[in-house]
Amino acid sequence: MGGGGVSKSKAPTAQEAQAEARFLEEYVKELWTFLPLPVCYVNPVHKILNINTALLDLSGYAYDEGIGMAAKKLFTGAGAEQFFKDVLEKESADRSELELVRKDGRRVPVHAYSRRRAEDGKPIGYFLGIVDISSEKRFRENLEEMVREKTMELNEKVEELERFRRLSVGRELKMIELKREIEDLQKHHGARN
Amino acid sequence: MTREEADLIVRTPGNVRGAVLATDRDYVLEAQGEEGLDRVMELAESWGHPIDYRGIANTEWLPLGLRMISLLAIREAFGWGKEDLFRMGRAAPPHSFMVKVLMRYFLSMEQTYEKSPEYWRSHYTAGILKTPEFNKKERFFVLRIEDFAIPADLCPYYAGYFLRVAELASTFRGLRAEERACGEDGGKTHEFVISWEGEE
Repeated sequence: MGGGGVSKSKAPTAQEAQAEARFLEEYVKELWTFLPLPVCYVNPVHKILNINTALLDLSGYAYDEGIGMAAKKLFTGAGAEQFFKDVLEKESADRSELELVRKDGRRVPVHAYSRRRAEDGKPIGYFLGIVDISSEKRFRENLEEMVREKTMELNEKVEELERFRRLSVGRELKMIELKREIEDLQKHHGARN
Repeated sequence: MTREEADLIVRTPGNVRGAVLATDRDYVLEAQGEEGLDRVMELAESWGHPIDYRGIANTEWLPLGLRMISLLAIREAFGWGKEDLFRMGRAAPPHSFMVKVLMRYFLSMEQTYEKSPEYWRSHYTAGILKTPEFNKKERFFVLRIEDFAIPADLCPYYAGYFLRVAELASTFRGLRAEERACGEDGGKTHEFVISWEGEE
């Protein structure tokens, strides 16, 4: 160190390069297995080339069934067609209101995200990340139901108050009328005396 | 198979990527478990050509002859026929790290077809993969491997393999693979026809 000369880094030997490649491969493999977010890698003809354990669990498919499957086949919903147009046209795309169709036919509401990969300006595929929003949707639906119930309760209270108001106003008017009658009677009686 | 026959096969010229043998290992592990893999390893060793399946690196180059020994040992260990080899070949691409790395460049079936000789060279130093005909109208293409001295009865493996790559790279439906002229030219030429019924 400190010799001032430019040190030349030695080119890695074939064995070192292989060890590096092996390390990277293991790293990628472990990352894909670990990722708790359902993810897959899809080629430009929308075939799944890699799929992680979380997506296999969510979709109910086995690894061999998942690889080669058309990614489009996994989804349904109003925005699915537009989403799969966007994944290759845009650098990134995301869409809620999609449903993932599991192998057993059950549908899971999801939010899907994509990140396009390109080389020399040409798309060579895309990563697809999926978030299961079932519990969020259930929570929202429960919340909406609660709001609906509370609104109904409130409306009933308002109606009750309105009835009470009408009743009170009616009674008030009656009182005014009675008062006026008394006054008339008093005037009439005073005039006679 | 005798030791002498195995010695002859293992001398097949050329090398193959470790990834190819790794897919053999992964398939056996999935189909027959650790015990099954041990059986294959014992058999290969009894022929005088042990295979260290568990220590293979995907990118290293290994003798092509050893790969032939691997396929033959797997076939013999489990008494597998043509259909089983075809299934094994068809299952290989999804498990291959190299396929995942290279398939990203295949943007359509035509492009994949054109690039397949390159793809072959990245896996094998022996044999020349040729692409003599891609007939979109008649819905078929032909892959021809020349100068590749493998036993013709291993060809169903390659038919299954090519079929699966076509399934991954295209939106064709009703894909089929057929061996044609396998074992011609003294066992050095093998031809496969991949056809399809339509497009999704």
